[in-house]
Amino acid sequence: MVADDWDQFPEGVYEAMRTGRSSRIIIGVLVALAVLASGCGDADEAKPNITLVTNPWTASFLNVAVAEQILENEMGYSVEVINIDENEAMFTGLADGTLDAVLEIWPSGITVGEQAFFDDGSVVNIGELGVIGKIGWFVPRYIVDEHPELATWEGYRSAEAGALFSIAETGDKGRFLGTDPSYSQFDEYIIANLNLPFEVMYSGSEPATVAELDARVSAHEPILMYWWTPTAAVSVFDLVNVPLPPYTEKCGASQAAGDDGVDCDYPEDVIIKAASGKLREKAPDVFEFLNAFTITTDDQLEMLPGAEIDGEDVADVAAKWISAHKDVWSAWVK
Amino acid sequence: MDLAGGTGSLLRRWWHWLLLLAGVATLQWLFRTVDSFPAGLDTFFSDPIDRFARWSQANRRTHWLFTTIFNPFSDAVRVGLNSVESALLWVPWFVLPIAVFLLVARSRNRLQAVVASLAMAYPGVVGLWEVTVETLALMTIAVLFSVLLGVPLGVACALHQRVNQAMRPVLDAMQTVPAPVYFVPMALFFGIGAVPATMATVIYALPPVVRLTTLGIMEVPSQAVEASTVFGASRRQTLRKVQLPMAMPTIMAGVTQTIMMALGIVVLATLLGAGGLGQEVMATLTQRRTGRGIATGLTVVAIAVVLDRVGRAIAGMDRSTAPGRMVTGMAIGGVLSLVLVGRVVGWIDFPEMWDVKAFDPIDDLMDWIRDNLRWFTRGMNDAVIIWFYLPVRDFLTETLAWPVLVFGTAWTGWRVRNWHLAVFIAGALTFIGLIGMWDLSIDTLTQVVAAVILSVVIAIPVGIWAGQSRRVEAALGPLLDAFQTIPSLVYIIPAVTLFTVGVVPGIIASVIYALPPGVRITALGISQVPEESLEASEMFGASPRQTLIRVRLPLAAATIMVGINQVIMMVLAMVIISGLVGGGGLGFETVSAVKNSDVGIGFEVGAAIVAMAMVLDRLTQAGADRFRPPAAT
Repeated sequence: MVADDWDQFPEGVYEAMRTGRSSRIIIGVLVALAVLASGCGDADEAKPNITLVTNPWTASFLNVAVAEQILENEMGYSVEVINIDENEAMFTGLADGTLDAVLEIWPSGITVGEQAFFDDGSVVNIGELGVIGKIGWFVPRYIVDEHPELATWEGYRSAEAGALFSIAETGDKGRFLGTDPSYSQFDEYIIANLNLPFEVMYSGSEPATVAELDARVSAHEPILMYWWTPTAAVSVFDLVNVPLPPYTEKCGASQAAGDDGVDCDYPEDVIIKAASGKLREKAPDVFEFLNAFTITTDDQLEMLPGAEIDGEDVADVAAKWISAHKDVWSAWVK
Repeated sequence: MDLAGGTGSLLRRWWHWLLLLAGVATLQWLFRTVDSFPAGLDTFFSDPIDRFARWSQANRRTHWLFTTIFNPFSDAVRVGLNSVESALLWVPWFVLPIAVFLLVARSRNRLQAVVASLAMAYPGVVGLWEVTVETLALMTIAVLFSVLLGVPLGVACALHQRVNQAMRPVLDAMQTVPAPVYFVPMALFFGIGAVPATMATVIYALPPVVRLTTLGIMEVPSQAVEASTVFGASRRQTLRKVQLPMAMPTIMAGVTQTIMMALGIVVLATLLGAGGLGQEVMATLTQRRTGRGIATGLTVVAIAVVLDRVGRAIAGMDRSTAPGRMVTGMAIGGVLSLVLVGRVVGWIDFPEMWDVKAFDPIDDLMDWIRDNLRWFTRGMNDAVIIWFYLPVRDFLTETLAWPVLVFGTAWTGWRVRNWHLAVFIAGALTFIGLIGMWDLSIDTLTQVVAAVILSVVIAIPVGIWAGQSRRVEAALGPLLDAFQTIPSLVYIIPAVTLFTVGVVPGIIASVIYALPPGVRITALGISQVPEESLEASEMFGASPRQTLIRVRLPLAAATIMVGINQVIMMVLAMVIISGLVGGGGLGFETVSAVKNSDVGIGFEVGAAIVAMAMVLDRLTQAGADRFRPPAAT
């Protein structure tokens, strides 16, 4: 019915355009609005905008939301939050000042190229966040209960273990579920070097991993996957970590270089914060604030269930934490 | 039929089949021990590109290329984005729905006006207005750029034959390129964030506005142009006062298409860190909040509805029904005073009335479906993988020697068109192999074939049904619109819960996305069959069924082939989405390249997708031409 309206000739518009009358009216209106807009501007013009980075996982959203709200409500800054992957482009953004700070960097994921940004000072390490993270292999607890030998990696060497975790695509082998390709993962090397009858399949994104986990756990089926703590999912789905061979220096060197020699567990990550080298000059008080900013593993575990399980707004969860811990954060604000 | 012919004429008739057989047999035998494509140019492109990427990262702050061109440009775009954003947030919340209502109501369609105005209010009502504004700003700037670039280009194409000849293959190629292919180079020049996402959107959405501008100008009757010249107008004046105004409806149709294409990519732009609705969709889905994901996805549908209705209202206004100047003036004045009142009273942000939480019951429904339909969805998933995906993929990569596939496809090209196409296909496929993308491409091709078969099996019968009944077509309309505009991530993640991570969710998403053009174009073909042919068929006593099979379908075959061509293109556009849910292949490689800023690999994957898209596009277009009935004499 409406499709043929296109054929009609909107003469009124062109006449108005030709006479230029309505364009004058429109310009007048725009000017008036602009004048009004400038009159109504906020008082904080002098303070620069601060851009904080979130990476695509909930804990990162929460840390940043806490910092954002304190910066906005207590320090009068306006904060923009940008969600990007933890990759070299993020470091480039920090280095050129497009981004001001990132509050959660997992040192095990820092590549050689990214380290260069710390080395030349264009990105500054501003201390530990206060959270100890651990990436590793996880299975639902019922798997370990039913197959006690699967509590450690040695149990995964048998063909039966592979068959237990197999799916249509992997045939006799077991499936190891990898995740978002921007997360640092060495599972293909670990599996090859430890000679395990498993094959890595990547979910491609974290939402897909969670959806698959939900599907398997709700059906009480086996699943072996890449995951990490602290996360709410570990308690929601009752996941347990499967220890791999202990971390060695040689293996750590392979992890840093990203070569195929990795045959050990992921290291414990003392999570750090980083800021743009330009932030100290741009907004010294923000730099000091972020430097002092600390969120502990307990703080994260306090906030995560609200955001991940109860589905509350990240902003609301962060606001709750802020109002409950004034004693903690008031020391960061000077 | 030449029944009297001997062996000689049989040979003449069948020699190209014999050639195919002989070629396949020889090549298969010759290459029986060669495992995979020798990737001779594996790093030929990626190495220099990676070097350039490293160089650009190191020199972004110092080299003139960045300090005088890219960085100022990207700053300017950022300023544009921020101003649109703050302007939209500055306007009191109730003004936009009212303005949309008035705009659409001008074309005397009250119902559409109410629909559009409700759609305009929707993002605010569910508490997503601020996020939506980010996306709207990106779209506004991107569409503005597309128009500023596209209209002059289109005019140049219309006025200069040579420009047109040069541009046509470029536009053809651009329309076959899936959007995310542009992400990697944009990230190289503009870093990450909303700016590269805007530029990728501009390039992706450019072709329709160029094409339709050219078409519009060429359609201007030559008498009009001649008359203008006779009255002494210069070429410039003729263009401005005669050709452009007369072409305006067509140009506007192009702009609308450009807007819709831009809308299709804004959610995916979250891969580049563009924020906005895409980021929100990802975040809700990570929390397993299907309902909220749908609520967020519907925002995109709402924007599409608003822009579509407003666009039609502006383009469809004609003087006889348009309200007088007085009414228009009063409406503008009314809206302005509303803005003033709102600002003065301070009633600016959306009141918190409702929330995406209202959609939470959908989550329970999802859990119920998960627990009760699992036996069916899992079974289907495993059947597709065991009986189709794995055997076909392994046959194409392991059993069949790669030269056989190249030769066979080229042979098909030669049969449906000519040897030019055969050479082109052989070249394109060899290129894919040489850059080391053979196995990944075959993997993706297998999934594409599955999705295309499924889409066609559904779309053609539905299209035939809709083509014969206006009522069915009208009823299907909104559903098809929703399929095309709702961001696929919203339904693909729940699909993972039902079908498990792997190729199947991606295939389902592709089918949903590819159905609308398939159904619509088939319906168009069926309904365009001339009334006389149908009457003639009935007069000869054909049953409706016979009429359909003997008359309608053959006469619509060419159009239906165009529909299949569109289905294939849509499915290819979804390749990257399947990479986000475990589909592997080129899709996962693209996601990985964009997310890890692996520029070299990103370029190679992009080139492989484009080569594959062009081969499939040319083949199906040539096929469509063969079905075209000879022109009536």
